[in-house]
Amino acid sequence: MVVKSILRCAFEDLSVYTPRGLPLLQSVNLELPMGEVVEVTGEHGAGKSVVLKLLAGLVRPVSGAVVYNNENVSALNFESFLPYRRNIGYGYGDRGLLSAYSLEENFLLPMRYHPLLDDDTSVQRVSELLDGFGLSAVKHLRPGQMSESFKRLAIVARAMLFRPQLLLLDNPTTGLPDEDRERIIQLIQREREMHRLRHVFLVSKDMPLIDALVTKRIHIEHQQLVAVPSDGREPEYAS
Amino acid sequence: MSQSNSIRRIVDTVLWPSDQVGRYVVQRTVFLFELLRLIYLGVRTSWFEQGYASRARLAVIGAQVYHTGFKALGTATPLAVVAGALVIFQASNQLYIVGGREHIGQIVIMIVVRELAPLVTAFIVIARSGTAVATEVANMRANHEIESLEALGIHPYAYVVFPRIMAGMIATICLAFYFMVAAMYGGYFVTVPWSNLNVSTYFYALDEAIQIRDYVLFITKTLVSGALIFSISCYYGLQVKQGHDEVPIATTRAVIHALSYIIFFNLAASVVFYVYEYLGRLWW
Repeated sequence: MVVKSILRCAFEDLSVYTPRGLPLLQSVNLELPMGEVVEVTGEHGAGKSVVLKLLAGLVRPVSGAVVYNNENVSALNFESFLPYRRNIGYGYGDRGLLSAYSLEENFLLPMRYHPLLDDDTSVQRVSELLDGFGLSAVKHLRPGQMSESFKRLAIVARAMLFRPQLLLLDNPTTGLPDEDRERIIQLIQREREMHRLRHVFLVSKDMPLIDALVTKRIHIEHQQLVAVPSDGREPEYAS
Repeated sequence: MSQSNSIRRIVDTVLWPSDQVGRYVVQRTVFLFELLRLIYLGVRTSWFEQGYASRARLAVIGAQVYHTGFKALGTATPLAVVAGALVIFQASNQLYIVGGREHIGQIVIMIVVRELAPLVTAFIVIARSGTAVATEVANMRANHEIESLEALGIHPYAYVVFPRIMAGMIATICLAFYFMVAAMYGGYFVTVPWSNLNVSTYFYALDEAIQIRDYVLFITKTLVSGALIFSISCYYGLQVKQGHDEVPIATTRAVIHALSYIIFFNLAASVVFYVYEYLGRLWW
């Protein structure tokens, strides 16, 4: 089972439109900061979630390229992108858990579908992850029977299932109690220190999370995505 | 200028019906190609994902066959028995008047095996499972479940669409076979008190009448119907873009299109069958 490392990530002359044909990003050229926890900022509806989806391979640009290492991954089909995908964790708010399965089955399905580990190790990994996120008590429940905060925790936990190098989280802690937010912060920090997690991109309005984790920012304005200088200077947009 | 405008209006009015027909034909053709593309991608992605992925798909197929086939027996049984009884009762009475009761087998086979079983079964499957699958897939789309499957490296066409189409084909043919047997046998026993039809005469007539080509038509109709119903349901389920308010719209569209395609396909298959049979008779 091939897993490709993600060492470099860039948008090259990239344009994205909404399903209704309105421009979100136009001719974006940006070398994304790697090895950091990056917050994607911008106005409501500017396309912050779309940036994460582009990186997760869930949205294709109308023109231009998403480049991993030196490969244009937006031109790859599903099977060719899979080695990168196995190194990317993606979580969207409290949505996306399979409602027909219990929480434990939600975690075991992708583990077994892509046999990166043997079955016993997979079960052990899932159990360890559920314990780490305080979800063991609800592992036999279906998503519809769980509270919103459990679902949010589960989404973050599932994104970290394969110990990815690149983690993409869209509003992971909105509405979560302080202790759950703290749990997520600690687990992300621990994964970065002890395991393979290198690059984190997140969209959030939760200040304690941002203060605790974020080291860099990229900002969307005027349909442009630019890196925000860490010295406090205003970012420069293409004319 | 005004003269050319009025000429244009007249031309537009005259051509409006053909314009509408042309538009409809193009839309339907494009839709059929979209369905074929969905089926092709389902098969292709399933081919690439082997191992546990195949077992996971088998589990989905098993569950879907159980819901679509086995759980529909309660609905199919009374419908089949009543439909079979009506056909046998009417046919035996008419043949009693005009003579030639030995042809009852041909009439029952012609109506039940070739037409009624495939069509009524398809209607049952649309009503029970087509709606359920369209709603399920549409909800999965609205809940971002389809998106998260993709993010986890599980192709939704391989895990959601392909097993449902396969299950649809298996369940529809099994249910149609059950319908056929229940209509021919159950229908007979219901009509025994009124039809004056001897058991041995009836079953001998059936045995004599049924031919390989009847099975070919029956299998073709049921397999294609199963594939059509479930691919149309998955297609409209996957069309949901924004949220849950689109789910009932997707379900309604799936049902309406499935019904119209099933009726059209059954009609077309019967026409081709009878033309082939007629030409065969002329030739030989």
